[in-house]
Amino acid sequence: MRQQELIKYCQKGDPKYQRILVDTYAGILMATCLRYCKSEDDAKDCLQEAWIKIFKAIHTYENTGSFKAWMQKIVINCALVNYRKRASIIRIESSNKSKHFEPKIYAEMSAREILDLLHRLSDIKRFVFLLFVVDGYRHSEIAEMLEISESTSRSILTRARSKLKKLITCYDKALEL
Amino acid sequence: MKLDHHEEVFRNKLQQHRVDIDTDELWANLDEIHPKSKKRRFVVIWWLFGVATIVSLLYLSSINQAETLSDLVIEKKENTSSGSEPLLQGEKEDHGSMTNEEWEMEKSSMDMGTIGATIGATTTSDIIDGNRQKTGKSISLKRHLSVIDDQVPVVSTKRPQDNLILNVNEDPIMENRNSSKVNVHKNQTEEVLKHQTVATMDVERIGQMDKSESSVEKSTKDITKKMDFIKIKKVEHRAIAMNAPSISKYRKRSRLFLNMDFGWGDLRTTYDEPLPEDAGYINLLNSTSVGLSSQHINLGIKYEFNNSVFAQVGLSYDRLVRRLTLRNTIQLDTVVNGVQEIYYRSAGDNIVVSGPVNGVNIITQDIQWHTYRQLIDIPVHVGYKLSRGRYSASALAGISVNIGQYVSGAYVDQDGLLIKYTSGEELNPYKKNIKVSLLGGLQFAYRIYEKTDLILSIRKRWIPKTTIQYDKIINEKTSFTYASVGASIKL
Repeated sequence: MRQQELIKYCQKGDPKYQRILVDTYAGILMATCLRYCKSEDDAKDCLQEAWIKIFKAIHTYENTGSFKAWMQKIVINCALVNYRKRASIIRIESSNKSKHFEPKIYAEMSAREILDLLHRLSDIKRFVFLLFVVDGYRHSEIAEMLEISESTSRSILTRARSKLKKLITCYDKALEL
Repeated sequence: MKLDHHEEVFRNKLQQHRVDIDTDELWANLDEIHPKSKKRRFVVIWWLFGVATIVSLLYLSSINQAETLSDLVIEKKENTSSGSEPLLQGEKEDHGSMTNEEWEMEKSSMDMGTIGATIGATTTSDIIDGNRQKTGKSISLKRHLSVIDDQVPVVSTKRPQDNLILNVNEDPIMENRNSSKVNVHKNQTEEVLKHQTVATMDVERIGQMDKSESSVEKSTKDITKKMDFIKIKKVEHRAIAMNAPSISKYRKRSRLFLNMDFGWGDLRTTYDEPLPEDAGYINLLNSTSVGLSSQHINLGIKYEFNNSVFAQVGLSYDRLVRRLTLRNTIQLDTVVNGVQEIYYRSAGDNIVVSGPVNGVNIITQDIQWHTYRQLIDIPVHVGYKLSRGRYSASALAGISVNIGQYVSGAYVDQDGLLIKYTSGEELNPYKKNIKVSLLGGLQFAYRIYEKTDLILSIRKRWIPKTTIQYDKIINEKTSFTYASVGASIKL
């Protein structure tokens, strides 16, 4: 079935096609959730909320632009809302970075391992990094989404990159040894 | 800001990252939360409402049955247990060759309705079983009194007017009561409750006493005296019950039905078009519906005069959605002030086109008209039924009075763009929407249980010329075809 037809039926609220949509995109959206959420449980909750929002808002989707990107934007927004809600808790937890990272050359890293690496960054750094590098948002958009200034966004990105480089170098050395 | 090499790698890997997830579990969670189709919810809600109404009615019916039956049985038991109690006026003692128990069972089976039968029979058999136990009279008596405890206040408070119609002048208490009617009724109730309390205490005392038969009998005599007044009440109630066979006769011929209709329809509209005085004529407007749909839930009572002829009356709720395409056809051959003109009407606006016209001119335009309406409908049918075994087929005809209101209306053009939105009141004032329609149809029934029928029917409904108000007067004729599924239960 073509994507446009699928969207059309989902816009009519047909549960059969909604289910097909879930089956098709759940994996991709879950991966997005895992990038932005702290834990797998949070990601599952986030995904569920995102699907509800997608079904509520699907009638507003006009066939302009990528449908996948449209859904991913909703997922990211959900993750951001959750991040803001739990900001204080996350800050406390972020001091306990006891997760052990398996060193490997980053080119050979799996997506899951990259995620583990990214989760060693603080939340705000991870968000800015993911939004800018992976999802291709501009600093002006990131600033608006995270309710920070553009310059802060740039500054955070620089620090995130620096931190990641350190981590990667460290792991490279560990591999050489 | 450019991306580093490792960032490019990250980006590609993360964008292609896909996680295996149990979509069944996810869907199950979503299904609980995400908003379902309104239509589906609507149908479910109305089915539940219908079922709840039927259950409530049956329950109320069964309570009435049980009260009547219990009183008959209780009165009979009193006579049996006390032995020497005289029968009161108008009481029929001869039951032919039947024993008292058989008589009670027979009586109950005659009077019982569907659920009332079950409850009544249970009550009867309980008491009979109690009587069968040879552990002493105290048991049956206690049961007997406990039933009376339940019954007496109910009777006296529910039907005060019945207290005054009984022939109980031999009793001094009743004589006094007859003289002071309603006020006395309150005193009666209090007195009954007082006696009842004393009686109950005595019974409890009996229970605590040694279970020797003689002591029970002695106590029973004391109680019997105190119970005189209560017995009068029981006779009153029994007298009410004496009228029951006639009610029961009607009830046995009645059925309660519930059906859900799905309808589609056709609408023809004509407009009263104001014309210039010197205009010739305009023949216009023929409208054809393309999506007239109706959801209808109907609850009612059917009465069978005999095995073939029946009448039924219902109360139904109708939710009507119209998606019409109006095809306006104007045929003009008119000369105004020496000039041939075309009068063209479009969604409430008259457009005049002047110029020489040769021959007959026809202009057509399609406009979609959406309206949503709710109706309360009171359908009345008479019918003729043919039965064979569990199957029956009926032909129905009747009228229906419906009272309704447009919820909203909208004109849209051929591309679905809104031209004009109209609120319900503006479109059609409530009082102008009372309609009488004609009904006819065929109904097929299959008896799935002894007293329960499954019904399938096809009905046609014609709403004769009706006037509704928009910018101008619009006359419309509507007809619907309904496919219906439902059930009926014999009372």
